[in-house]
Amino acid sequence: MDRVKRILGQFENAAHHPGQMVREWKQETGRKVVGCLPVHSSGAEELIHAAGMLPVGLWGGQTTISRASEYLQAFCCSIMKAVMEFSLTGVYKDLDAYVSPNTCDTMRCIPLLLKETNPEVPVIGLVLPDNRKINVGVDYLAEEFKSIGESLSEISGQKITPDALQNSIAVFNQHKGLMNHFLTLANEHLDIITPYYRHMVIKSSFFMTKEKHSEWLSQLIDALEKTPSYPWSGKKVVVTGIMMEPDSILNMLADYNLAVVGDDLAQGSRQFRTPLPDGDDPYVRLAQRFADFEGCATVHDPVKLRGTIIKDLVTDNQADGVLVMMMKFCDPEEYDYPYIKMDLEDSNIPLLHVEIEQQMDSVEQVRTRLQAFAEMLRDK
Amino acid sequence: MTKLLAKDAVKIIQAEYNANALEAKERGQLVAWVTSIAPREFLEAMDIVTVYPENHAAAIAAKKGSMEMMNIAESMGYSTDICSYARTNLGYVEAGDSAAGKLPAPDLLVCCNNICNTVTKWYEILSRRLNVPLIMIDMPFSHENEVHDRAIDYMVGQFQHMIGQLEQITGKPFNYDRLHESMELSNQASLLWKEAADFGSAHPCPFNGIDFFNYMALIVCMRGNEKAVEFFTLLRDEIAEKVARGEGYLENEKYRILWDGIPFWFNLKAMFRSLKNYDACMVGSTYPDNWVLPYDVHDLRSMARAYTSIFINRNFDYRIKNMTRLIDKFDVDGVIFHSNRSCKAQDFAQYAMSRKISDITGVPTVVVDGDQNDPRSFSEAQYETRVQALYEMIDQRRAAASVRR
Ligand code: SF4
Ligand code: SF4
Repeated sequence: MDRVKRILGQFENAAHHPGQMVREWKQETGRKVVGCLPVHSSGAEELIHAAGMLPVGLWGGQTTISRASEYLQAFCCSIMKAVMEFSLTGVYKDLDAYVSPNTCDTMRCIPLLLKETNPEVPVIGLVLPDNRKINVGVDYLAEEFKSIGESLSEISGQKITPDALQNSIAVFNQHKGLMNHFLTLANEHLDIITPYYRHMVIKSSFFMTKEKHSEWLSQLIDALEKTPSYPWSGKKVVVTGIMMEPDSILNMLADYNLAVVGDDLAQGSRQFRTPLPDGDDPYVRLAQRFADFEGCATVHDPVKLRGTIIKDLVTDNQADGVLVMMMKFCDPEEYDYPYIKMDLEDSNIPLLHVEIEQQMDSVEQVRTRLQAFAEMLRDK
Repeated sequence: MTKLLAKDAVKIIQAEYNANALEAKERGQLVAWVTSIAPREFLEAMDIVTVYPENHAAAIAAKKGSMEMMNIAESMGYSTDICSYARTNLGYVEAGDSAAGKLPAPDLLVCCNNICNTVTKWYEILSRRLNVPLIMIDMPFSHENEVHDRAIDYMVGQFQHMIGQLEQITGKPFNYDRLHESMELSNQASLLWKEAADFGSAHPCPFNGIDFFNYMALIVCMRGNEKAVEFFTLLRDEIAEKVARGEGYLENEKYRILWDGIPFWFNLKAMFRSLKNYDACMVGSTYPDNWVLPYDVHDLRSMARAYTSIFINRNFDYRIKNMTRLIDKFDVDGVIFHSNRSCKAQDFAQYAMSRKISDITGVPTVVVDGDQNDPRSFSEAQYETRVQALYEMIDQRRAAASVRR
């Protein structure tokens, strides 16, 4: 138990100190760092790794929005407001480049603003295809990754060889496997792996090398395997959305005896639930992974499988309900919501829609609603 | 017989178009719901009737019916934050009728994301809700100054894929002859459209630029058809004659204004008054410019390039260059940026653009808050104040210039 706690403390520390993690890495290796904007920088991250640099996830954070309002109207999502604030106030000064995927309409503008406000730092656009499943889509994305790889090589001064990329893919695949393993195991230890710590383990992976994170994960898995499983008597939920922050909301779940047993979060399982397939051409492997992936609001899906994916998560993990963590002003998620609601209601799965922002003045309203939801689940 | 004026003709043609679409559906002709800047030439080639949820939504708003439709969508769980065209249309789908009449039900959907990612989400929902196939045409956003060849390869590959999908849906072989004809006509219409709009550079400006938002409906839904060529010839000639006579829209044209974005469809009058009452004329707009789509009619690559090269699908440098070019060409005195609550794809570049444009050209700019279809996001008084501020800035700039002289 103590060992588990100690390891969790490491993850927590890393998750809370991205700047420090980045500086330490730069000092130790003398190499560069590339900031990866949400949601799907996957593919580019493997390329950054293969070029000998560190990919770092840029998912906003806690801050006061002031300078960013010179660039963004009030109705922009809080993640991108925070990103712009950090960029304008020097928080991102250690980044040597950005990778910016075409996530949503907001993300059509953010790379323009980053370039405009920080012209010396390159912004590499990653344009993922909507027709990702047909051959021309896979071919296009493989070419896109090749071109991004070339830009990244120039920035790092280290050429990306096919072997190096295959090796990076292996590192990332191993990491994905360990993350999924950890999350399965976590459900047997819901007393220790609280919603907060679950998030800390996931979040820290955005700020450190996959190798190191995998090493810590292996230690954590080992320690959890040696700990007797815990019979959780509270209720269990699956969460869906972009992310689950601020931390105060995570702690609230614990307050009301709600455990997170599965997630469909952009900042969570959507990052690692789909492994990179085998293959001889590493660029095609990167592209094919995106073709195989399902169930994100920011990825084209005319069938709208997301409701089914969430239902399966509920069944597989014996969850009692679903929390829809709705990032305020996030169009893609807002478009998905009515069908998620309909699909879950059709299966009699209780759900709670909570609107969140990264910088929330008050979470008390969320508290009241969560409490009521927890009570409802208990009485069911 | 006196010749019909373009502003009357557009109404008649649009009404005919709508009625024909409904009739065609009854006769069993296939109907597609299509996004506004999709390469509709492929559908024209297969005799598929195309109708436009965006146009329909705008028409509903102009007839003051958008709130009713949006209320329905919002009661289903669609957030007030999402595009008000989408909300209006999703509400319409449930209501089945609207202040601007009906759209024939679709047999297929054709979504081209060169305008935004919103349409991708919106059409996914339509596909599931109406249980009809969705043809997705993905036009990659250009971060670099030039559109990459890999993007063109991908788009041409999608065109070929779409041809297969259309053959399957219609059960007929694809009509390449008709495609080329339609490509030819589309180019002609687009060129006429440009010629007409370019007359905005005349002094005085021969037209009220707001009218172009009405003409736009036809370049959207008939580009690639003979009728569009006829209409835009009429429009071009009418304007050319005015220019030849030296006739302006205003008697005393004082301010020449460039507009960025979609208008407030539910209150065009407010736009109209805020210009006319101050002797200001809208001489041009970034928005109608989107349908200037010239390409080589025998080359799908060239067509792909034209459709993906519209300014909202391009990087900041391009947008800045595009706007400075317009300011120069139309001899613009001031720019109004419509920060349209619905259209995040454009909005979040506007603050930076408005400052940069002012820096580069010296022309004053304002950003006004509003929405294309949702009256709740618009305050006429506030709008009026901002526009007045623009006129004052123009006056000050002129005064300063005359002192220097
Ligand atoms: S709008 Fe949504 S998907 Fe887009 S950047 Fe913001 S949170 Fe991410
Ligand atoms: S208004 Fe903007 S967001 Fe809405 S459909 Fe048009 S381009 Fe897309």
